[in-house]
Amino acid sequence: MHVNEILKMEGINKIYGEAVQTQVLYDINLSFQAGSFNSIIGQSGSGKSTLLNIMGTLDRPTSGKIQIGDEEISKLSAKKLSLLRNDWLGFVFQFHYLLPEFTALENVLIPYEIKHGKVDATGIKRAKELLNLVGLEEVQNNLATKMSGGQQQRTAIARAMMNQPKIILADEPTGNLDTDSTEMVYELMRNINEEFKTTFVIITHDKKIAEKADRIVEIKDGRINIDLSK
Amino acid sequence: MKLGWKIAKRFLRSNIGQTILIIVGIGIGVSVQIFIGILIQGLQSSLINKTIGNSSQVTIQSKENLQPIPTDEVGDIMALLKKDQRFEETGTVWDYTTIIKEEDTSYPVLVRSLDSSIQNRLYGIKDKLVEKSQNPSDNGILIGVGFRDKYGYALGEPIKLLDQSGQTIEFTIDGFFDLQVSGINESWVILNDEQMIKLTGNSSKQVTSIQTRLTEKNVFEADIIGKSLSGKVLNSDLEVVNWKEENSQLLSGLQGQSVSSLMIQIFVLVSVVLGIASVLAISVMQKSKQIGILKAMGMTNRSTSFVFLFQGLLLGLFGAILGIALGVGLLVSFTFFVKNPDGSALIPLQINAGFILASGGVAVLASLIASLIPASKSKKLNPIDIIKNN
Repeated sequence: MHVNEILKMEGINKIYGEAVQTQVLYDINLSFQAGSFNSIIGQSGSGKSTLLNIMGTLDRPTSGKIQIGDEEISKLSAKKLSLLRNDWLGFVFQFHYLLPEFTALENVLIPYEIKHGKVDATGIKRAKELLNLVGLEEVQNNLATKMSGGQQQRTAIARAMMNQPKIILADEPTGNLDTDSTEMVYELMRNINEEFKTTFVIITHDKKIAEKADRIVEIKDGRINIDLSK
Repeated sequence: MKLGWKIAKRFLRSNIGQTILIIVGIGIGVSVQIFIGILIQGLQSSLINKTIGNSSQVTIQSKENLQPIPTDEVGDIMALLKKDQRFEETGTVWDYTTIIKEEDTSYPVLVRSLDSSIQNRLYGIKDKLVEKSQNPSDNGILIGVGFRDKYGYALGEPIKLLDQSGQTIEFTIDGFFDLQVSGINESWVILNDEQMIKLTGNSSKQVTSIQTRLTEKNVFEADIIGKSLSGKVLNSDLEVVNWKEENSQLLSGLQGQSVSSLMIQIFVLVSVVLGIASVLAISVMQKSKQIGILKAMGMTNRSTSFVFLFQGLLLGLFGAILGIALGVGLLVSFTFFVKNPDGSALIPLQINAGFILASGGVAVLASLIASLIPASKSKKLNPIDIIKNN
């Protein structure tokens, strides 16, 4: 792996079904540089979300290798994969997936608590700083259900940042937001990328957002169609 | 673990209506179990008390009817029984059968000389005297109320018994006892050893049987205890009989009651387990989105299953506490409101703390077992299914 490559996929194939087989990804070779800001575009059903889920270790490829940092993940047990996800990866989905039973602050703290087994002063300080960063210090004690869509998505970004992951994978993070919120969320992610050198891989339908990325990868029918770097 | 505990508490609190319903469901199950269990225990112990509490439960006697046991053997057996903690009361009895002879009639009686332990504590004769003479005479004896009611005897009147030589000896009636069994009330005559010696013509006190009462927890072991005794001390002329042999119908009634009580308790338990398991299984469905995202964030399968085990534990604990409170409340009100005509409780209340705690413990355990199903279900939940299906 190249020194600066933080995530590398080689020969990734994904086939769903047993009796009737549908191949979604064909022999994908793709890698991302540490600290880069990337977007993946493609039509619905092109396989881009499947690719992101495979990158995020949430789904396993039918064949092919994935390397995150120095770790070849196909050999890892379920428990080790969980630890790797907790430590290395942050997720932002189209739907925020906050736990409705918890407040914004508590939601942000969950990855920290999974990692350390407890919440301590350091964790709370960092969670508050992150909520501050995403502009939600005033609603930090609101339950997740008592926030607007934009606020919920910003909380989800703060949560993804909590364990200072090397990579944040975002699947249509602004898909459910209005134009203002979309702009705000994009700016936030870009700032985090620049300030903390966190690698971003963002799936988006939004051309304007895609164009602002350092690199655009287009997936078409399960294959890489375009791979453009600025 | 700590996070699992926190999430479990939050899940339960966020759906407080459902949580209360489950706790009430478990509580009612536990209370029914405690109520029925203790009621039947009380009923059994009062039945045992009423039926065999005032009679010998393990008796050592000669194989030949009313033959005396040799004196040295009586000493050995009594020494052995006194050392044995399973026996509450032990004592000797001297029985002799004869006839009450009146001018125009005669009837057979069982004349008994009981030692004080047997007379007062086993048979409780002292408390069962319905009439007694203020000035007991030297040759006074006690007879059952059956004689009074059937043959018209009164206190202080003479009564004639036939001795071994066929002569009559006159005694005075000092009291009437009522042992609540008409057969006994019409056939027993109780006198002392001197009177017995006079009546039987023996030169010294004889023992025809050794009678005992077992401690309450050993009552149903009478046959086993009896068998162990016969192996230990008895020569071939003696035998051990126990209440279970002699009251097989009562025994089968009591056993039937125990079995039916056990069955009720098992079914209550099964329904409690099924109830908790089904509600928690639904809860996994309800919370699958949360579990999926927790797993995506790196929570391990083991930790997510703890969320459901802790929920089961909490529900079981609160359900058990509520159930114990309800069950004891029910028992107290039952004893208070349901009474005999004489004002005493129909079934005496015997709070058995061990049984109550065990019922609560079983409910907690059952809740934990019930939560194993949703716990293993949550373990298998794949975050990708949640994220894909939203």
